[in-house]
Amino acid sequence: MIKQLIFIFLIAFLSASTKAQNVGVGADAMYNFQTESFGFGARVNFFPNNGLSIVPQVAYYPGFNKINEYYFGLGLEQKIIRGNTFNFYLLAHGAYNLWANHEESTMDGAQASNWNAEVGAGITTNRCLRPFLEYRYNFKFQETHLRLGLLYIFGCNSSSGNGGKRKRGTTLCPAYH
Amino acid sequence: MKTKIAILSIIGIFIISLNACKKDRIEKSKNEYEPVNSYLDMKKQQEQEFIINGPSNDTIVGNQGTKLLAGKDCLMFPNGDSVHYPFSVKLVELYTPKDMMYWQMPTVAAGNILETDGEIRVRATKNNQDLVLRPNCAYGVQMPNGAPKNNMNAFYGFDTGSFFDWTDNPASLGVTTSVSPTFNIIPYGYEALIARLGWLNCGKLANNGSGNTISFTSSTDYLENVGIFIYFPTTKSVMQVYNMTSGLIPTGTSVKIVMIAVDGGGNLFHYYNTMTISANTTLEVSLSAITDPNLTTLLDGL
Repeated sequence: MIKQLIFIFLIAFLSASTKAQNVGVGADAMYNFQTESFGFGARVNFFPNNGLSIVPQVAYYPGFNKINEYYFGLGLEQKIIRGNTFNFYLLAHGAYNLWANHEESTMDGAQASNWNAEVGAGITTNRCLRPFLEYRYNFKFQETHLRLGLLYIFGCNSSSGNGGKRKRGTTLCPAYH
Repeated sequence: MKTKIAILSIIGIFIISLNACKKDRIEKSKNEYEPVNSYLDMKKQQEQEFIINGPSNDTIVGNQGTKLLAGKDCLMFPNGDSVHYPFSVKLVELYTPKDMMYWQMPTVAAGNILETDGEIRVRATKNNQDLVLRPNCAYGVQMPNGAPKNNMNAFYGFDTGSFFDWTDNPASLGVTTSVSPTFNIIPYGYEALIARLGWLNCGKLANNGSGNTISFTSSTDYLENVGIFIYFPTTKSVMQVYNMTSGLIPTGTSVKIVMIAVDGGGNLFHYYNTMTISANTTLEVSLSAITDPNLTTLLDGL
């Protein structure tokens, strides 16, 4: 089953990446306010310039935190404001959670395997290298966290469209210009 | 329009997160306590020290009435060397359940409760080195009691590594002696010759290896660091509970249960209950706050 999912994911990734600016990859760092834990993650963003983006993602909160856990999930991002410089989006995210140190918690029903649903909002830019900031709410654990990351868009470069217009050393993606 | 939707959505997420967030995964769901030893040590009877300068003052009277006759000729260093004046005799007197609890010196011998009329600890030191009694020597002790009982024996305390146990067979502790193990009744109370320095209990067995246990559980408090004591008013016995399960309690015995805990802020908590034990019992407990004077009064009234 897992091999099939990886295969499907790779096919989708290769298919999408053959078209310019249909795929981005990124990394992020996060802080969960309720568990007081720092984590980091990685993501692939399919169709980052469309109104709706599909964002498979993983996250890891290392063992030095009070909560040590992994997330493997799929997110959907809907842009609601598309500006010249910034985009605002809402997101929904479903994930499988592997809570490694659940034995240490006194929470009723604490277990290793959990399914999570999150909603949130984010802000990003239109550039090839896009910083993004997200604030999310996790319904399962009733926790919020903040993510700060960078997303790189494949096929987006300074010479493609937009006359190579540059702002502060970064390149504006031509999709919006 | 989109801007309004965005702003409303973000506000909505913030409102949800502010009102519905929990720290359940990292917060303790029960009250947690620090080890109770520091509090008990702070409250316990202090060891009294007597400097023996010569044969004229080698009879000692403790502040609770224990009398000791400590002749230097019966003392020696562990290597056999003789002791010369001056030397020190140190005495701890525990005549109440409160003091036995503070010292965590229960009156249970090999799992059986001891009826007790007091515990003392006698040490002798010279130059901060513990002395021992010479073989076949003894020291004299008188313990005050207004209504002494027959057949009260000298039980010697020994450290098992995790708690103190008692035996009235000094040979099992490597002590060779011919002194009587039984206290004599005198107008002052009890009198005996004691063949070993250390803890001494004036008691007799009040159980024969049968009975029931009490298991302690709590849905509100972690009990690991809580001091749990069971007092037997009829025999003045004190039992300390380890690992949440008591020792054997004779069927039909009335007991008073006292639990003492201190949280991380130094606040005092307790549980108190009286019950008669007729079968193995599981007791769900919940600790409540108490002041130090009130807890002291409670223990004084046991």
